[in-house]
Amino acid sequence: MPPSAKRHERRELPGGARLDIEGLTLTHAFRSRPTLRELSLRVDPGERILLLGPSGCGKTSLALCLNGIIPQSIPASLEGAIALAGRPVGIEPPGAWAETIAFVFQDPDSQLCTLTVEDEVAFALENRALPPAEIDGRIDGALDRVGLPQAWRQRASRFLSGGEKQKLLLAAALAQDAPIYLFDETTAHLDPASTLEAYELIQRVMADRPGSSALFIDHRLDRLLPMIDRVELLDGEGRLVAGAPPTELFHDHRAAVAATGSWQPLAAELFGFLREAGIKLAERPLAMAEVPGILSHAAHAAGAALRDRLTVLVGQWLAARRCAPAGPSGPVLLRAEEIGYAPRGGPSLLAGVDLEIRSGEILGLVGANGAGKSTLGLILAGLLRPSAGCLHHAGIEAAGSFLFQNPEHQFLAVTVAGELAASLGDAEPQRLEEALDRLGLRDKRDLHPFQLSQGEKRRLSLAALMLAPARPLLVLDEPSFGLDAAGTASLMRQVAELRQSGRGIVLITHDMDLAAALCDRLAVMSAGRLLRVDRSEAIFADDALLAAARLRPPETQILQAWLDARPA
Amino acid sequence: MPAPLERSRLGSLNPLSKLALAGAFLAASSLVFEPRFQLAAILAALLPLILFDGARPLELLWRLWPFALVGLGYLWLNLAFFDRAAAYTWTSAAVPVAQDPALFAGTTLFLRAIALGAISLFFVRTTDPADFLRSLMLRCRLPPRWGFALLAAFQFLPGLADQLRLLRLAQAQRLGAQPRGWAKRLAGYRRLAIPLLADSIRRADRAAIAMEARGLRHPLDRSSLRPSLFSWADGLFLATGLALLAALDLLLV
Repeated sequence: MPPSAKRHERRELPGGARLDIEGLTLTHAFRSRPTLRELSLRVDPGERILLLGPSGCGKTSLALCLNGIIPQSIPASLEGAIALAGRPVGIEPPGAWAETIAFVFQDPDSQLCTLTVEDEVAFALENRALPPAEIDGRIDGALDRVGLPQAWRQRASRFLSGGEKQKLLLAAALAQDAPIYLFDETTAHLDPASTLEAYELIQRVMADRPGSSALFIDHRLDRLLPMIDRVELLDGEGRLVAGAPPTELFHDHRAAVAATGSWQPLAAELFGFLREAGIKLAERPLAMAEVPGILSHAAHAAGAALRDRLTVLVGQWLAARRCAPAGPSGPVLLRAEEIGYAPRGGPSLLAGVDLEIRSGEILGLVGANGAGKSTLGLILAGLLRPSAGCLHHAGIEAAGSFLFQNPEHQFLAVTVAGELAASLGDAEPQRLEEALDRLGLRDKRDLHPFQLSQGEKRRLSLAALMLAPARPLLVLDEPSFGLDAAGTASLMRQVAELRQSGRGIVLITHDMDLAAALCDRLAVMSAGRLLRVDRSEAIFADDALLAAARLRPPETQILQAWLDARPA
Repeated sequence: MPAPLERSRLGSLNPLSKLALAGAFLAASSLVFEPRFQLAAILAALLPLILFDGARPLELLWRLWPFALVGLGYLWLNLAFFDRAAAYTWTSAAVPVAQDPALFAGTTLFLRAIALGAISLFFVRTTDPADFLRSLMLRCRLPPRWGFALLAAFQFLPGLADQLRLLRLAQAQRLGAQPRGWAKRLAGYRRLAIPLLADSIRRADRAAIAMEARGLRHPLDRSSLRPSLFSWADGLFLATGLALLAALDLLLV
């Protein structure tokens, strides 16, 4: 389907501005290959567009072209034309476009320009030289709209939680009162409950501004898609390969989306699977919440044979998403008793943690931002010494390895091959070649590890840990962060292989679908304490616990409940 | 108009008045070689903190101990190595007061180190960094690019220590034992430096992009939610402070 096909009927709404991109080809400085190729896109006032594509396909680069930061501040060669509100972007410096387009980026900590809540909201308005009385009024309005108390105006922003910081940045963007908004992975750093709150908030505030258009760069689709008018799909080469309303794209062009390695809504994946198995349903849902009703209706209307087949297929689809346990878990590898931790001179981060990890099991460590998951993970891996309690290892000295959230932290060598060799030792050139082939990095063996893509860095860092002399316990800290669908699937295979080798694995994650797919048991943490350790299904069925730990059930939970309610 | 900022009595003074008076006291303390003057400067800096800013004396002493440590070093050096024969040529006026020139010089240097610390503490403890930078941008033409870059650095620095701690842990796990020998240790620091630098540059990039996307531009084009004002309290503070300094100078030197 050509990208220009299925173009929108033109909307004329007050307070809006149009964005036109024509034949944009972007090549970053010192790169030979273009990041974006011949990209054309039009966004009319009031439209809500999702830019979807695999990681590294140039979505954020496209965003930075929209106000001229690329190429005016970040050098690059750029062909084609971009116009905001009918004026070419290149005629003004990037800062001058802040009245027309407002951005909210992903990492809240590196976007805070000032020290207090009110200064943060005032920043863009002061830059526009608005009178103080107007700035004051806009701060009041923006804080009210995002639900931050007025009493927090002079609070230091660095002491806010991740979710509150993101709300503050949203308030700052709203105060700009721009006709175009761009949200670039705004929830990437948030826990599940804060993520849901952020999407609800964005939906609410954008509903109040029907004339403003919004571009989203995101991969958490289920909550976002109800807001979206059109999805523009980029492939790994930076080409726009499809543009259509979400239902049409994810149901009628599912193969095109899958070929790019991008995320898809789970409901569309399930219905695609059912279609391929010969069950054709008229409905085309995008949210999992719609699915049980549609399935029940279809099962009710169909004959007994089809009804049973539907149940079996849904069961198969759910089972295929789970990483099958390697059989009963083995002996206890590590037992933590009454573990506590407080850095010198600092507050207590962990207290009274009792936990057992067995060989051959994957234990998920879940909880809100700041619950103490990474600290506990570092202690279990033997990298931090607990300040209270003790760890009992099963007769082994070096208990575990820890895969850091930022893979760059643990790179030692200046080439990819050197990185693997550092783990293998010099005596095993054959295993080095095998590892390069298995990782698909043979062509990149002489590159610096920092030059790899996010997914490649993650694979390399995990492989480097695995090739080192075997350690029985592996702690993975947010291993799927920043990965696209293809990268996450590859990671899940790698983790499943590790479990087969009899290791015990601790998985720290905010992604409840990943936890549901991989983990046998979940340990739920809140404010440095362990609230409950149990089988994943039991945890996800406990609503009070999920609310207390700011978690959400996985998207598949509602489908599992539907399946469980079916007669055997 | 915005509600007034929640500041203590000293905190609500304009940072530039405090900077000017602290500068005058620092200059005087550096130039005057007299222990009683240094003692008076210490009291002049600390008493207002206790009386008007709610500071606890023990907390102030705790913050000043590094300066006292440096001062003790000077005191010990003077007591141990002072050249008494040469001293009469430059301390002749003050010798009758202290009797022992070594003790006199050592005590003066000891108290001067603490006085410099106490005056700086007065400024830092009563001044909000954002207020200070705002005043510098509005009154002293500090370019906002620099002002906001400093504020971003202020946000960023606490995280840098955490980052370094994580890097050390990550690399210690790969390398096993801590490296021995200076050459290996140096290589270890280089290994830490590259990812730390790469990470810091990326964060700085993101902060710069966020500021530019929100329209940071030339100082003359900006307005400010809170202007940097001088009030009668600033006048009173400066007048009292300068009068005290002049009186100390006349009485004690």
